[in-house]
Amino acid sequence: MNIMEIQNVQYAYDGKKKVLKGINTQMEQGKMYAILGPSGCGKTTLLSLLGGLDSPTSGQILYQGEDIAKTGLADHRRSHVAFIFQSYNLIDYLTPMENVALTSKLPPLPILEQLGLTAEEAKRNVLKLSGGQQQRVAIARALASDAQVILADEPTGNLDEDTAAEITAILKESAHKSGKCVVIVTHSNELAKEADVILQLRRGELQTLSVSDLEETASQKRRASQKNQR
Amino acid sequence: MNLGTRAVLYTVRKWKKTLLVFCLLLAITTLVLSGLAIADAQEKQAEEVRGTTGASFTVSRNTATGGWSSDGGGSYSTQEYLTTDRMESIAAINGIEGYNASIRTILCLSDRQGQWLEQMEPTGHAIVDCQFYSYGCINSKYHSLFLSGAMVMCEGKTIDSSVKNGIVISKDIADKHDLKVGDTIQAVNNPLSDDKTMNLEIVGLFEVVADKTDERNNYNESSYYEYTNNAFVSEAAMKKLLENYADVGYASADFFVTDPERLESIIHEVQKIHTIDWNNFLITANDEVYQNISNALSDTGTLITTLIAVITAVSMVLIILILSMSVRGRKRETGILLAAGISKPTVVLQYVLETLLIAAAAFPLAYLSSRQAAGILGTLFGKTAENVVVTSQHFTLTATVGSVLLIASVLVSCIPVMRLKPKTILSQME
Amino acid sequence: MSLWKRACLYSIRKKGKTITLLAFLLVMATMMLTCLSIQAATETANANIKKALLGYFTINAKRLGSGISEDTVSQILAVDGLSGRHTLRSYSYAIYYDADRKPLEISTEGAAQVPEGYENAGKIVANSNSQEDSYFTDGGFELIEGNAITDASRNEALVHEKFAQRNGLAMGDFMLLGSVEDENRTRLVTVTGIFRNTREQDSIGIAPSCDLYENIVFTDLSTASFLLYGTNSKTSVQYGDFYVNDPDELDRIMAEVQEFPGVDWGNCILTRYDHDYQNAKESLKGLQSIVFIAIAVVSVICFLVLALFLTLRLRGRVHETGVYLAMGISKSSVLMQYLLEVFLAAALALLLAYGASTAISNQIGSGLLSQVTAQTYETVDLTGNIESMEEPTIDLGLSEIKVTVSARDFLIVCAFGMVLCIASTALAAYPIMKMKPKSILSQMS
Repeated sequence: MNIMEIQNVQYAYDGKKKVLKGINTQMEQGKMYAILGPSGCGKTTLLSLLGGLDSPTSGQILYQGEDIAKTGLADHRRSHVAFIFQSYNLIDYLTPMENVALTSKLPPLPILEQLGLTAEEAKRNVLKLSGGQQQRVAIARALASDAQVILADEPTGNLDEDTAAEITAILKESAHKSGKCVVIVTHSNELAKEADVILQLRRGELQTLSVSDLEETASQKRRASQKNQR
Repeated sequence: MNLGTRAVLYTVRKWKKTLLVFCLLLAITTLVLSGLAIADAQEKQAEEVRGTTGASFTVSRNTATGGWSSDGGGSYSTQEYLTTDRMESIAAINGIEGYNASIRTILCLSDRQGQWLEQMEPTGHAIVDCQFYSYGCINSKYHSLFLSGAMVMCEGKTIDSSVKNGIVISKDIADKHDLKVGDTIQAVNNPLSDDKTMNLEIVGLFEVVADKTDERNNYNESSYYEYTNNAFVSEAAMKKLLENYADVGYASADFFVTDPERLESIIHEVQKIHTIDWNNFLITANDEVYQNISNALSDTGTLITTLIAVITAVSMVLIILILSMSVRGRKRETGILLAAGISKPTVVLQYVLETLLIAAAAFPLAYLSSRQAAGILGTLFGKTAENVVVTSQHFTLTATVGSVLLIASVLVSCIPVMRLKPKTILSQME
Repeated sequence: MSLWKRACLYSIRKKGKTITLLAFLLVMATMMLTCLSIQAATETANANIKKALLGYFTINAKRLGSGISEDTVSQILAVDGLSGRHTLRSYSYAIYYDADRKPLEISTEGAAQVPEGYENAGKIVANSNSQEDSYFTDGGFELIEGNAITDASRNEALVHEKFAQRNGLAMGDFMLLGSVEDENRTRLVTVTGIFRNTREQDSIGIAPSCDLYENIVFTDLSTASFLLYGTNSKTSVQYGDFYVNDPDELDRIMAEVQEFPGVDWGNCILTRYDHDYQNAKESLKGLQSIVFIAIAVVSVICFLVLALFLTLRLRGRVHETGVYLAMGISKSSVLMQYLLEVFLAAALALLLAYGASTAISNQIGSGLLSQVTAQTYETVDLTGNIESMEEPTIDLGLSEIKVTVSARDFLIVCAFGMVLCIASTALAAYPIMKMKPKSILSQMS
């Protein structure tokens, strides 16, 4: 069933430059979505609209069929969504366990262990963990909360390929096993390929791509770069 | 890029941080400057308080070492008198504000027509009723009757050496005889002898405040005359009035000092005057009022000085805390600079330079702002606050000590960061 | 996780920052507390100065038939604001007899006249402390044998050395003092002291015989009261000098005294004597306002510095705030957490400051002269010709200046400090709190 729905959403910076021109889409629980697009196309704006950090210029965003502008943005942020950032954004004076406990009443250690942290690592100073481990903590924090929607902004942007793959797998698992709706904003095709639904934001409009479309655009890009090299 | 450029760039680009540190330095420097000014003002004020206690010393002839003679009127001392020369040589000593000595006699006063002036409560005997107990004064302002507050001047001026043939009488007597300041009256010591009669101008009038009927005041000759029947006459005129009498002179003189704290040292200086035979004269210190309050007064001084010391010490601690905080907040930057191969001393020097740049702006501004503050205080507290003046000495002192302190505290705050290896610093970064 | 826990964890984990904040608040609170205790101490010092300037008023009840009664005196002394120091005085004339009621011989040399009935009479001076009588303080009298007459003395007399010589009186001898008006009113007194005059009497030739220095006898108030009013068990006096703590209150106290019933105040003369105070008044006020200025300056700058310091501290936590906000933790909860952190540090700092400032205050206090128990006045070097100032140090009854941190001061600083912390945290957090959620994502990535 649809947990989030975007209806005719338009967004303009200061009423001038239109970045989003009437977007319509639905998102379901248990699925992972990837939003692709070049830098500055409005990906992050779309994510912040979904997360209730900002309101669209026109159109509606529905959570479980209700307009989040009516039920309250702050309430939406607090109870329905959780963010994951490229730079992890953990609270540096809290241990991984405490970071997870920030917004959750669940015991944090099982969640962290599930994500591959040892009990010792779960009590370490977060700044002394590797990037991948920090991002795991951030994901654990998001999973532990009651939020049904996880919004991730370039979650693998700071990580090496192997770690990125691991994190992607975790996010995917979160959608499939924990039944969360995971929305990832990224420019990485590798990550996007793993998503159940791939959306591309181009010139303010959203298109659904299939994996083959993705490979096609990738090979087009390759050809274009080869042409340029010649 | 040299460290000077880096320092300037940091100061300019991170203007918000710079501004904060600047404001802190400004506030603290203003505090210290005001504190110093207040400490000085306190000293002036305490000196003023001491000055109001009217401390003096009395030089009087020593009747114990002089001879005694007697005639029908009883025995009297033949000790030498204090001459004008002697008094002047004492008064010339630095720190003496003024002095007074009196020759006392009973004068008969009359108006210009020769009509005797009558006392306030006449007895009916003409020759007694025109008698006024008179003091020939060098400076009547310092006469004990005025200093003790028994009498106050209500019109005109007091008698001093600039007044040649002047007299000060009571307002009651003046009113009774329709006299006013500027009128001339006549005085004679003994109208039954060939004593000189002189014209004296009324230069001032006094009012009686004390209760003369209190018998406490009745221990000497003046007791037999009401205060209203007292008169103060120019020294020069008195000498002429008494020129028929050989044995007339100053038995004692009171010298008033500006600062009672110096009374002792001044007395020691007086004793060194070799033109006076100190075997014949006694010196008595009169600073009872000062002695009574001196402890409490110096306590006040100690307290205020301590207050300022506390303020200054606290300011120093605050500066160290603030700078250590701002240096510690730049651990990451330090790591990057060290990683880029810039030597530790250069980095420290950059921080010192930045701090000094801020101080260079904050110190002069604090000077101005504290002077401004003193001005505001002046309007709030009036005269006292005028003493609170931030001088350039205060500024020089604060700026010098402040700069040294700033450099020292940057150096101290840098120690923990500098002890780390570049690798550790970077790994500690987020 | 509750904001309490977050605040505690921050305070514990960020040790460096917490210690800096703690040190900052500790230093500030100690300074404020010390300032306040110093201010209170200067107030005591000022009150001491006022008291030491010895403002008093004199009641002259010479014209009253029965003088001022003992009861009235104690009633007056009970008035609020009196220092308790007082001098009672009576003056009269008495005929001098030896113990066998044989008249004693007086000096008449230099007397203007010998009044009828006063051929063997002289002036009687009674004072609650004969050393404080004007003959001794201003007239140059000095005691060469025996002790001064005090409040406690009964039936005692001090006589001039020449009077003693002339009549063969010595210490411990008895003599009779008789009323001039009533022959039968006599009292037997003991000679307990002999005085002389160091200065010649200047009223020779004017004064009647009874006023000659040689014929003066000092006696106790009770004896004078008997001679004057015929009282036996109770003592009435002609004059009373009553010293006040604060000369500014003289008018009020004098007005209050004149309300007392049973005294014909219309026939009394009340005079205020506060000349020394009036001279010093303005300068003293100045001294006091200097302290006030200092405290005011310190308080204002304390506030500024604290506000700036907390701003500096919070500015380093913009990022953290963003994370909290993105997690849906409300702004007020974040602000409360920051406040709580400051409060935790402030509470500890205030406690420590109480101890620190008490220690400092004690240190300051011990340096004060008023607390030096053995008060030694430096006297002028007496070798040479400086006349001795042997007067014993008068106990002015000044309060000991205590520099202590009172509970009141502590509460003031606590309240003031808490308000200051809230105000400056709020002020410093304002820019962060104004931050829109929208900008969080851009700041985060």
